[in-house]
Amino acid sequence: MTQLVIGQMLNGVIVGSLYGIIALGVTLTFGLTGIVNFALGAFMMFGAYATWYLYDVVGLPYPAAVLGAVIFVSIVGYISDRALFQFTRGNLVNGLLVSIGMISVFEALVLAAFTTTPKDLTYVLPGALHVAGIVLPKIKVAVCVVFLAVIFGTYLALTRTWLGRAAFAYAQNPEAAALMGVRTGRLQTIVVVYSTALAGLGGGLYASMYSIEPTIGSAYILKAVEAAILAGVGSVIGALGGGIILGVSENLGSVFFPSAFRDAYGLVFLIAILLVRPGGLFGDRP
Amino acid sequence: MLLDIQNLTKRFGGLTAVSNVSFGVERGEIVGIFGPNGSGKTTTLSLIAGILKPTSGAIVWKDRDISTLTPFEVAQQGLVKTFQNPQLFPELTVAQHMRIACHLHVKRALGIGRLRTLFSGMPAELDRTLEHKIGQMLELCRLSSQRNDEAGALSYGGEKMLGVAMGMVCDPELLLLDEPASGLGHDEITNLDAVLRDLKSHGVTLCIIDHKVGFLGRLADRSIALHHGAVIATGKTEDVLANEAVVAAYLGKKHA
Repeated sequence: MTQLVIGQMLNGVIVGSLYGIIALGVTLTFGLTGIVNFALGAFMMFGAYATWYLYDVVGLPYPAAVLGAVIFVSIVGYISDRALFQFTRGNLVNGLLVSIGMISVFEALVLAAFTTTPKDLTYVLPGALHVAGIVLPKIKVAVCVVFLAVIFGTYLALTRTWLGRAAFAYAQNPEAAALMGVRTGRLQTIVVVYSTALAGLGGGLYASMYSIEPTIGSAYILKAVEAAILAGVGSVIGALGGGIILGVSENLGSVFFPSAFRDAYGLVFLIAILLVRPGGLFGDRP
Repeated sequence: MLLDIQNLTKRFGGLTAVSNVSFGVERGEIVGIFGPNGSGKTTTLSLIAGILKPTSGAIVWKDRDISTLTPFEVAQQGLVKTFQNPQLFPELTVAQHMRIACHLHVKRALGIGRLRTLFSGMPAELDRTLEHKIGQMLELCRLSSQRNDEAGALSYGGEKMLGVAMGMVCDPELLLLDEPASGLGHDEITNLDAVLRDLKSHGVTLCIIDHKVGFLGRLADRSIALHHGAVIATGKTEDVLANEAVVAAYLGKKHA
C-alpha cells in the first residue's frame, strides 16, 4: 500500500509538472496581456503532433524533433499574436472568445491532416528505474526533469536578473513602463510567444509518454488554468506548485476513491484552498 | 522653444476637456500649470505624454510634432512623466526600483544584446555607470539613506520622491510632474521644493501641474492657469496668481 501511494505521488508530480509548464504560460500571458489564453492546450497539441511528425515521419532524433516542434509552435504563436491576440490586449472576454475559436480551428486542421486515429511515438527512451520497489519509466523521469528545469530557469530569470525583474515590473504596470520608454507592445508579444513555446515543449514531451489525438489539449488547458488559479495568478513558482498539487491530489484521490472521478479530486482541493486563501496559495508573489 | 503646445483640443464625446490650449516651455525653466479640479490639467499632461491622442492641435517637441507618437516613443525622446500616485512594488527595494527605471540606458548601451544579461548578468562597466547614476539621483532626491529599504516601508512622501527619482534616472530633458505635492505634509512639501530647485540647477526643465497654489507660486518661473479646459491666464507666476479671472475660478466670483 505504501508503495502504491508513493508511486502515485511520483506519478502525480510528473503529470503535475506538465500542468505546471502550461500553467506557467497561462499565468505569464494573463499577467502581461490581461487575457486567459485557452488556446494554449491546442498549441500543446500542435507541439505533440509536430514532434511526432518530425520524429516518426521525417526521422529526426527525438531532441531535435522536440526543438523543431517548439520552433514551429512559436512561429504559429507569433502569427496568432500579430493576427489576433494583439487586438485583444487587456480585454478578457474578447481574448477568451478568440482563443476558444482558435482551439476549433487548430483541432480541425490537425483532424484534416492526420485523422482521429491516435498516434504513438515509437519508444524514445525505453526502460524503467526501480527504486525501493517502485517502478518509474525513465522517460517520465526525464520529462519531469526537463519541465522542472525550464520552470526553475524561468523563475530565476524573472527574479534574479535585471531584465527579468524589469520585465516582471513592466508587466504589472504597462502604462508606467511605457512612460519610462519601454516598448510594452513588444514585451507582450514576447510573452505570448514564450507561453506558446512552453506549451509546444509540453506537447512535444507529452508525445513521448502517451498517445496523441487532436483533442488532448482541452483537458490539459483546463488543468493548467486550475493550477494557475490554485497557485495565485501571476506566480511563476506557484504555477509549478499548483500543477504538482493538482497532479498529486488527482493521483492520490484515485488510490482511495473511484478513479473515474479523478478530475473532481483536484477541483475539491482547489475549492478548499480558495476558501482559505482566496488569492491562491502563492498570491501576488513571483 | 523646447516644447510648444499649439491649439491643443481634446474632446471626450460631448465634453471638451481641453479647449484650444497653447503654451510653450523654454529650456531650463520651471513651468507650472494649475487650475481647480476638472480644469483639464491631467488631460493636458496625458496628451503631452502620448497616453491620450489630441482631437486637434499640435505638440511640437524640438521642432517636431510628437502628437501621434506612442507613450514609449515620447519617453525615448526625452519627455518623461511621473505619476500622481507612484506605481511601486512593495517588495522591491528603492535601489531595485531605480535599476528597473534604467531601461533606456541599458537599451542604448546594449541594444538587443541585453538579452544576454539573462545568463551572464550586467556587464561590469555598465553596472558601475548605472550605480553611479542611481547614487547621484538618490542623493539629489534625499533617498540615499533609504536605498536598501523596501518600497513598502517608505512614507507617502518618500514614495513620491522615488517616483521623481525614477523619472529623473531616465535622463529627461523635460520632466512632467503630475501633482507632486498632493497628499504631502508641510515638511514633505518643503523637502520637495528643495529637490525640484536642485533638479532645476542641474539643467532639467520641469513642467509641474498641481492645485496647491502656494507650492507652485514659490517654485514656478512661469505659470498657466486652466479653467474648464481653457487657458484663462498666462505669464509670470505672481501675475497669474493675482489675475482676477484666476481668483474667481478658485474662490468663486464673490471673493474676487
